[in-house]
Amino acid sequence: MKTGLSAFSSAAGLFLGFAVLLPVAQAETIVEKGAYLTVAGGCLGCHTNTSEGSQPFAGGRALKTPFGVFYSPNITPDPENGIGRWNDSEFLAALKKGVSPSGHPYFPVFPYPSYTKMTDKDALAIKAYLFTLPKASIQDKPHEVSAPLSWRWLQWGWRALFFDDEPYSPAPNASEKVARGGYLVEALTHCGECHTPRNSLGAPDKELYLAGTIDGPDREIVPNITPDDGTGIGDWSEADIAGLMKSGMLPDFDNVQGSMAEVIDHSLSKLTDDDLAAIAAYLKSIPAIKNTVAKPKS
Amino acid sequence: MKKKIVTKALVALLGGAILITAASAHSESTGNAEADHRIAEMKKLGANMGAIAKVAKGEMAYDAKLNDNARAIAAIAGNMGKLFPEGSGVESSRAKPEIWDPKNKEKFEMNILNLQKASINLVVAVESGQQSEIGAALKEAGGACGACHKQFRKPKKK
Repeated sequence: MKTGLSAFSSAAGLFLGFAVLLPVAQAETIVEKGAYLTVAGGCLGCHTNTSEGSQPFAGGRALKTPFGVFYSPNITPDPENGIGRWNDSEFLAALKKGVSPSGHPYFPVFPYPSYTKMTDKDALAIKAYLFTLPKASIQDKPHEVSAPLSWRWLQWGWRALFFDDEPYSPAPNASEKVARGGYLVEALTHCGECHTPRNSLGAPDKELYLAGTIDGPDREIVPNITPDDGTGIGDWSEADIAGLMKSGMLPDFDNVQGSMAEVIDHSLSKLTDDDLAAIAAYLKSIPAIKNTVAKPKS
Repeated sequence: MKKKIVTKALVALLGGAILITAASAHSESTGNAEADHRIAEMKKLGANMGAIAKVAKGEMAYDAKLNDNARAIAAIAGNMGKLFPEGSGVESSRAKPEIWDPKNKEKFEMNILNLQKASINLVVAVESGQQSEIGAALKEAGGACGACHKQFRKPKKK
């Protein structure tokens, strides 16, 4: 009798123990997943004021664009100065729809048109990770943009013209590898935000997807990364492409610098080899576009 | 005997021609002759590294001509110090003014020394004909290039 009862209570104890352990184990996994996705999404780069060595994700970095200088906001979980008071649906609306909790549209210097393609699950994993970060009591700096570009309500018009609120969908007949690479590139690493030329209204020109531009961020020249032989990276192997993302070394062993070096440092070099291979396979699968990106000859 | 010499000479000439063509394919002048010369020499480095890389990656079979590529790299590396005369750090050159700041002299010269060491290792590796050795030596040389570029070369800008 006693044995039966103690056996039952041990079993019950074990069961309860597991019941307590399981959710904790799952929560850690969501945060770990969120940490990886945050790295892939490149959030640290824009949301940290690296030039002043300030706290990670506390914002304040100046992003110079043809429309003015934008300052990234604080996305630490600080309740006053960051996103600490945001619930799940507010976070999803911000990241994927580009709309703040108070209903204002963000400027597309925040690449929500890319992030809109990620799954809600991935977005909420990112939120879970961000909410584990130390709080920063740093206030957001106002953007230095002149009217009428500073008028947020004009963004509703921009969005009507240019924002495709669509989830990611791989090309038909894409392999699992290429589909994974496409998800990473289109929804997370958002390569197109720099590598696709933009029209005068600042919207990416879809006909020239990843075909490069001389009008890159910080006046940098952004290369054509379509598989075109003459003007793109058609003569690179997938190993060359993955190798660049991992180490910053070009096929001739020169190294990339500027913004791309930063992207490699804080984001791409930290992705798994499988994910880098998937990105490389995707980049080989997109349309080759003839577009020479070169410094205009003086 | 004569045929062999002629073939070797032709190969050397063609090899040289290809390298020279590659070097002058991107002709942009900075307006400063010394800076232009430096850029041309750097481009030769890249072309020679690229040629050896094709073998390391298994895209091309090993050929004894690669010894010339490796020696060319070592020769340019050996001369690297002379490619940065005062006044050649013009605005349109990617060489940063920090190069000529006395407080960076030791660091800059160390970078050159490291490149020279790596290029000698590369010559040895290429002469061995072993793909894995060549790959490792290329990586070391590339790392030496990158270390200096990271600190002393401007990014590509409009």
